[in-house]
Amino acid sequence: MNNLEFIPELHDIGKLIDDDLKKKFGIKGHTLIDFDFSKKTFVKPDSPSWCGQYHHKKKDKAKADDWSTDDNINKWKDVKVDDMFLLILSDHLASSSSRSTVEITGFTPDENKLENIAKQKNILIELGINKLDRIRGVIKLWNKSFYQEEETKGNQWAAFYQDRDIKKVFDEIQNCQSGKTFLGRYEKHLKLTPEDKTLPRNITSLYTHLELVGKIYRVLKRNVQFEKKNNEFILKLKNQVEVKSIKEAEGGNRTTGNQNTEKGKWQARLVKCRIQFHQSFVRLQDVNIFKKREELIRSFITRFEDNILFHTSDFIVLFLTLDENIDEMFKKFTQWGFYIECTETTADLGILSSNLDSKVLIARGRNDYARVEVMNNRKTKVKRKIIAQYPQVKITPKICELCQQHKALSTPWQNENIEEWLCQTCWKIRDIHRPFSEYYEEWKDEKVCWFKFSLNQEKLEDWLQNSFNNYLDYVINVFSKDILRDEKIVHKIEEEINNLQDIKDNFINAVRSSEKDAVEKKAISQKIKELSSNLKNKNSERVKMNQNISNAREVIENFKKFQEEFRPLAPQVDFNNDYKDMLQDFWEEFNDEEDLKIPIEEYNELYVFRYSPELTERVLKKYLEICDKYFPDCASDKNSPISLSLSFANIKYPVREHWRFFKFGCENFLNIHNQNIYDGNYSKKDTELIMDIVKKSVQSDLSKSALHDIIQAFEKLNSEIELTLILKDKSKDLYQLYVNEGIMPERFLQMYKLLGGGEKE
Amino acid sequence: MKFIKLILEIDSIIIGERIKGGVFRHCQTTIPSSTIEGALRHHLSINLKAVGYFIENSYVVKEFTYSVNDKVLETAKMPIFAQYLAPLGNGKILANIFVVDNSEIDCSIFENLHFRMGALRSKDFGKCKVAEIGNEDYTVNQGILKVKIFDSEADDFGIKPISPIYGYLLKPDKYAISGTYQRALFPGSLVNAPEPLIREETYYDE
Repeated sequence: MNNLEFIPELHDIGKLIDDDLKKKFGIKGHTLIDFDFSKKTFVKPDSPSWCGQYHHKKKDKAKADDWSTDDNINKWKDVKVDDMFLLILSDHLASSSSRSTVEITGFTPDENKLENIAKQKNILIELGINKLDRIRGVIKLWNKSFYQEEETKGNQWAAFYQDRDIKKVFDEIQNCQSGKTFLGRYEKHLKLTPEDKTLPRNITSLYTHLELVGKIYRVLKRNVQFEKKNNEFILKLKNQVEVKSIKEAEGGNRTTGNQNTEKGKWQARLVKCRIQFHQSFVRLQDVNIFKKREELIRSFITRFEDNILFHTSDFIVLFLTLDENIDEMFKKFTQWGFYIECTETTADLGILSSNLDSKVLIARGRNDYARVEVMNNRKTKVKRKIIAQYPQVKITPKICELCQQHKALSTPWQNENIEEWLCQTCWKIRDIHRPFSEYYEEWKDEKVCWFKFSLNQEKLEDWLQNSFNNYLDYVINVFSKDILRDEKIVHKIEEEINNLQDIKDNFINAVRSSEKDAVEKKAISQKIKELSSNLKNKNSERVKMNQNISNAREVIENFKKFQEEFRPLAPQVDFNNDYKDMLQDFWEEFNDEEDLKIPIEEYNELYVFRYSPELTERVLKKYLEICDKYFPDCASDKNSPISLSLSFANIKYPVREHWRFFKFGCENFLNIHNQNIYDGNYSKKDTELIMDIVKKSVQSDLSKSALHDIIQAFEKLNSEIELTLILKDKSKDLYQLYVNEGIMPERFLQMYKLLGGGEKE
Repeated sequence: MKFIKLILEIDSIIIGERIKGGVFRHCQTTIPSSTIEGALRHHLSINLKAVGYFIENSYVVKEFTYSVNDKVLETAKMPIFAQYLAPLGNGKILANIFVVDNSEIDCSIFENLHFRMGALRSKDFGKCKVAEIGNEDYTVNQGILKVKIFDSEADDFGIKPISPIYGYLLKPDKYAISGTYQRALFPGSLVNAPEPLIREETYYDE
């Protein structure tokens, strides 16, 4: 065995091997433990990472002393027990579904399984996927044709598809230096391969799954002791009970019902942390708070990389054992005046997931006793915490004018004879850097537009759950249709059986009758025999059909359980990564635009531009374009997790008020604040329709004053019929917009004005 | 928890945020304990413990522009834009005020009470009239606080902080000339509190 570290990220390397290649080399499943090295020229790896291949080991019943991963660890052989144990726990925690909750066989796309082909094809049609092989790639719920598009660019999920590649697989297991190296080397393929190719588990990229497994493994590794006690090996998570099996550590994996809900012995925490601040922006430099926040996040990542399952600029999800001190972890943030709003979920490893908090809180709110009881029995806790510097009881004036949390320094911050009283922290933040000089110098007295992209994590979790439910509903629909079809067949068979039975009864009565002679009776008996055989066949046909119906019903039940036990963490990470790519894409478009600035380079959600209708249009068009590119199948209305908010005002309007709008006004796909004129929001469809009409109208004779007249007439008369008639008379497009989409003329007018419509007047 | 509940009718009002150094003044939709207690003390000359908020859908936020005159130079200073609350439609702005009910308070002192509260009173903002007086007993639930209240008075209101967000409110000294900033519970704090003081009921472990 070499001296390299155990690399958990390598355990699923087999998922990158092409199916034909696996067949050729006799590889079953995605692990390589059954690979016959004696017949091939490859050398069996002996690195610590090789034992990762045993993570799905099942007992070979033909061998008396064989073992499986479900057994007590003292029965395990050929593996480094602690590494394997922690790998399996991490693998379960990082999955998007509880693996053992529902086992659905026959849903791995396989052209050779003829009995499944028809059903699979029906499901593919429902999903809009036109080639069976394509379902082997990842299905992003928000971008379902992602894999198909990548395939047309020549990219494919399999990293190993030639004979010589098998050696590469073993070389990786033997020599790979770190998880990061592996993830970096195969990033492209890992992001196209699903964590699990079976429907409906194929919604998470293998990349994210392995990244999560690696992180969780290392957190557990730091906190778990492996030792011998009374001649038996045990594992002990810091300050928790010792265990000897996976099941013992995790407990059951259900959060409701009465099966598989037993308490586990090991608990951990998932903490959702929102990084907040008290400061209000008086001067442009005060947005330096974002620079400081990015700096602190970077430093946080360096120190707690493995604990951070994912993060954005203001949101971090942490995986922690019960012992790790979260207040201490965020100390640097609180020292700089930030406070952290945390939702902390403590649960058995078997059920810990990123949406468990909302499940628990909803169950309590609805008095869902079945679930609440299971949660209570399993000592599941959901807490809300604020991590902040402990505030003084009183402050004698002057108080800091920005954060209003600390006493101001004895000397004021001065500029152009204006004195501002700041605390040391706010002073330091203001002095970090001067964002860009054009703002007050060149753009003086002009109208500006601040805009911000946002990703609402709560909406994202809800949307992912709904979207996953819909995804499974496709499959459920196919089975439901099959059940209906089969029930009709059964009904028909039963009718035939009844008819046959009637005929048979008539014949039997005829045989019993004394009117028939022996020859006739013999002929009738022969017919009775034939009828009996027919009846027997029909009955067995009925039994078979009923069995099919019952199987289909069971599958539907299982799929419903799947919906209930969905774990959104991994898809959430994938979504967040796509969001980051989307922001990058946006900034690349405007990087050289002189009138559009990014105040804090490291924070690419917030921008400002010198207002012009052309630039406003370009920003909106680009937003629509990148949403179509990265999130074509995502909600784009009030349920949209992503939003863009634009706040237009004279340059003198305080940045703090723009920010207040961003904080509280991001309700829809697009939100607009035009200071002292208009506040409104639009879905993607509204935006596209309005922009189309604006494009036509800018060149037309439709004037703003005409639109104002229409709006005033409506306000005065408050009659929808009147409005319809006026619109029909004045503008066919606006009439259609109102009648078909319910978009009121005012909503149109406000966007029309911002995009330069009616400027010819 | 027993409170005397007052419903106020108001034409227009500014309860500004304590933000300086800007020409734009934001106004809030809660009535901090420091503001209402100060207003009642001024008009009734008694110290009461009270807190409140404006009732949703009874107001809209508008902007008012004014400039302060420099009487010495006889010039106007830079104009200031202040947000204020105006009634939604033709009615009045409504506000709920909760006064801690101790047996010493005679509710009749609030009958037809007219008083002023908030900023720019010289411009006619902040005229309040007590329209209704009630005496109600409220259940205590866990939830997210929606008022600003002195931390030292939280107990009197039956509020137990679970995970507090703190800010500061100005508490005048006994001469009402100056004062100190006292720690206060701010909206967003997770608390156990009488039901009208919380935004939504929650079910977190404590």
